[in-house]
Amino acid sequence: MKRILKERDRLLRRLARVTGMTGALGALLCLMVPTGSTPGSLAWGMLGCLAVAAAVGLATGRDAVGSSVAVVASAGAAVVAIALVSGRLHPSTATAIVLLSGISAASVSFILVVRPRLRIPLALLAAVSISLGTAASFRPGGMPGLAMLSMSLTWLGTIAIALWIERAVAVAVSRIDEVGGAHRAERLASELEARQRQDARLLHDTVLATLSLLAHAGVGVAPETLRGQAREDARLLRQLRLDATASSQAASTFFTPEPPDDDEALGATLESVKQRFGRMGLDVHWHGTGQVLLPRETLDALLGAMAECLENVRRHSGVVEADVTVTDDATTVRAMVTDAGVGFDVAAVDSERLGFAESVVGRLHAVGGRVRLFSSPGSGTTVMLEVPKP
Amino acid sequence: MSRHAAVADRARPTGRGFRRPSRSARAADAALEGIGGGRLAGGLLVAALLLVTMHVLHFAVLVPFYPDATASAWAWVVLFAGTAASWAILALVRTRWIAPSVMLAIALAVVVLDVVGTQGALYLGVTPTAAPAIGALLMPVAVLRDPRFAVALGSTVGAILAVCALAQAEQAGVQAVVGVANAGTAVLPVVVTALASSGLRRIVRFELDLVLVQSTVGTSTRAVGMFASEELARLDDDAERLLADVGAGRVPLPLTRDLAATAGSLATRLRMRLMEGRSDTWLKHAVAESEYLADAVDVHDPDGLAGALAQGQRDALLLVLWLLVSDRSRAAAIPVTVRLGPATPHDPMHPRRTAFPVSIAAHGVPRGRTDPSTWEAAGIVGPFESSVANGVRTITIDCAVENRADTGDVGLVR
Repeated sequence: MKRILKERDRLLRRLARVTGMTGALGALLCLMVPTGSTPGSLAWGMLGCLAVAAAVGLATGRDAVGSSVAVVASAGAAVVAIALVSGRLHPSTATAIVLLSGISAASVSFILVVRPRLRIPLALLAAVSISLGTAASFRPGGMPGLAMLSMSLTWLGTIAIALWIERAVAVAVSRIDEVGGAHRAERLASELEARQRQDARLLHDTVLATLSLLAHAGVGVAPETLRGQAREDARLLRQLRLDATASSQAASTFFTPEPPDDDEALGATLESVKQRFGRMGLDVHWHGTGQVLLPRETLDALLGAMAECLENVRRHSGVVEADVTVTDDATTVRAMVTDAGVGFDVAAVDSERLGFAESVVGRLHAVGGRVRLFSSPGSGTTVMLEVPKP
Repeated sequence: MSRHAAVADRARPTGRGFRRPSRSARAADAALEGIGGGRLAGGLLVAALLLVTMHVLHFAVLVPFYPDATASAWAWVVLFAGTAASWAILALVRTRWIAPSVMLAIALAVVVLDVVGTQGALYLGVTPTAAPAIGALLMPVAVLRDPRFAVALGSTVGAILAVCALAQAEQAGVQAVVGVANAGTAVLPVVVTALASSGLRRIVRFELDLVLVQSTVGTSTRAVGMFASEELARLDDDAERLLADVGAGRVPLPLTRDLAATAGSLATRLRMRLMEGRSDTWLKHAVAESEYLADAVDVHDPDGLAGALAQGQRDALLLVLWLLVSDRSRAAAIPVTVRLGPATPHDPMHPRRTAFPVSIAAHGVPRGRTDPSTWEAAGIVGPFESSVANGVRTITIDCAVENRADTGDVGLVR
């Protein structure tokens, strides 16, 4: 990250150059106005020197202290010279003094502020510059109070801007670091996802074949065959998509969303249930085999009921782990939620009080399922959820 | 079926150039959002308030010289009221921003009042004070929102004040200089702030681009690439829709000519993606996904040797390219070329070692302007030689990598 600091310093040097040159040019223009009482030629020479010194010193100077001192010194010399050669300060001459001491000289704050060890020298340079400008304004016709005020405020202004840039870069550095770390993780995930897609395709690649058939408008193939094949391929792609969204495939293949014409993504997958509880401090372990095809409503009811049971485990069991086992036979899908927690006497506790009546029992009844509860004090709890297969 | 039309639309080939994967783009946008703004703008507000204070005090000093200070006093009232109201609205109503037209109206009212109040009095040393203060108040605008608008508004105010001062030159004489300098104070703060803000933004974008691209270094020997991976997901998605529509009988068979063309192009692009991704390496992705390298670097790596480099070497190689590109003069139109390979024949003493040269040719790198860290980074990739001929800097690095048996992972040989 050293590079960004180098870039920052380059930017600050550029700002110093713009500010310093603007002040010097402005002062030069002010002095070019014929006033009669300013020996123009002398001041011109001075300012020529100043402009050159400022430009060269700031544009090329790697030596911050040297070039800054040079700028302030040349501006100071010019101010003193102007004051000495002018008998009476014309408004334009007074303006030139303020421009030199308050803007050209103040440009060095851009260079010095970012070096903590140079902050005291910076304050000294500011004090010297402002004093010289003020002293010069004490000539008849000058307004020393106003001059001092404006010079002090422009110095403070440039210092404030320089400090702002320093802070902004520091904040950006830490933010860039964060983004870089997060992005590395994202790239690895993306790489994994792409690999899964490619691997799946290599294993059972009929998508390309079907698309190629479709590219010929499906001529020469029985429409029903083609439709069936397209349905199968769409299902494979959907499976891939859902796998990719869940961060781990372990649990998400238990269920597959059923009808291929239902375009919506599966509302709640087992994986998201698991993660939700994981965040709340309950570790859920899934057991079970194969894929289970269920109509959407039934699936939602089963997942909802399961989530309620897990919530009960989390609140009442006193343990931080639960097991969910999913099995199925020809007619029924069973999900068993088991914990090794405190348990309770089923006969003694009204099941309504556990929040079971509506959230679990009601839900499963609505899709033709049922629930059984096994527990005794000290030996954990098991809830068996059953829903019929279509 | 407009969605299939959209698919066909995406099928058009895109030219060479910088394409950032949408995930990277989102990360970059989030990081760039409010660079230097937000709480940081506090420091800038201090600067703005200091300058406004200066103008207020200037006004106080000038009041005794005014023939009639009422209009200018009103200008200050309008400026303060307008600014305070804007801040209050920003703070209370959760609006994102005060409309430029509102700012323009406030600024215009202030300028008109102040000019009316001071016009014809320049010979007494009386200049507008509230109007140039607009320039100071535009400093936060330049950083938090739109630098161009702020600079344009500040310059307009400055120009109006300068014209008004020059219009009084006949009567005011030398005092006109004071008037013009006063007009300049409306412009300088905004310009400096806008320069600072855009410079800051540029620096952060540059650094951010490097960090985002550096994440490619961590991928395995053959990388699909984030962009390809997103494209693959999109193509899969489009294919799924089309197949589902066919499967469910929502589209008639045989297909219309348009749909058949869509299916054909999907198949072609999927086939391309599925094969192409297998032979790409991190280096190709890094260059393609970088805003700064995409058009400035040409990679020739027919054997995918970049994938064999160890992580430290990859990091260093990327940095070498980065530094060379950033040190080139802006006008350099010829891309930096990187050539990897061909691999030298296997050394019987080190059967597992792969050795190959990496040669980099960069046009337009000024002599002596090369960042010293370039050499440091090149040394990490391997022993190197560098020369300059006809304005082309050539760096040749001898790389040697040890193949670690079956994992496909590689280690660095020193």
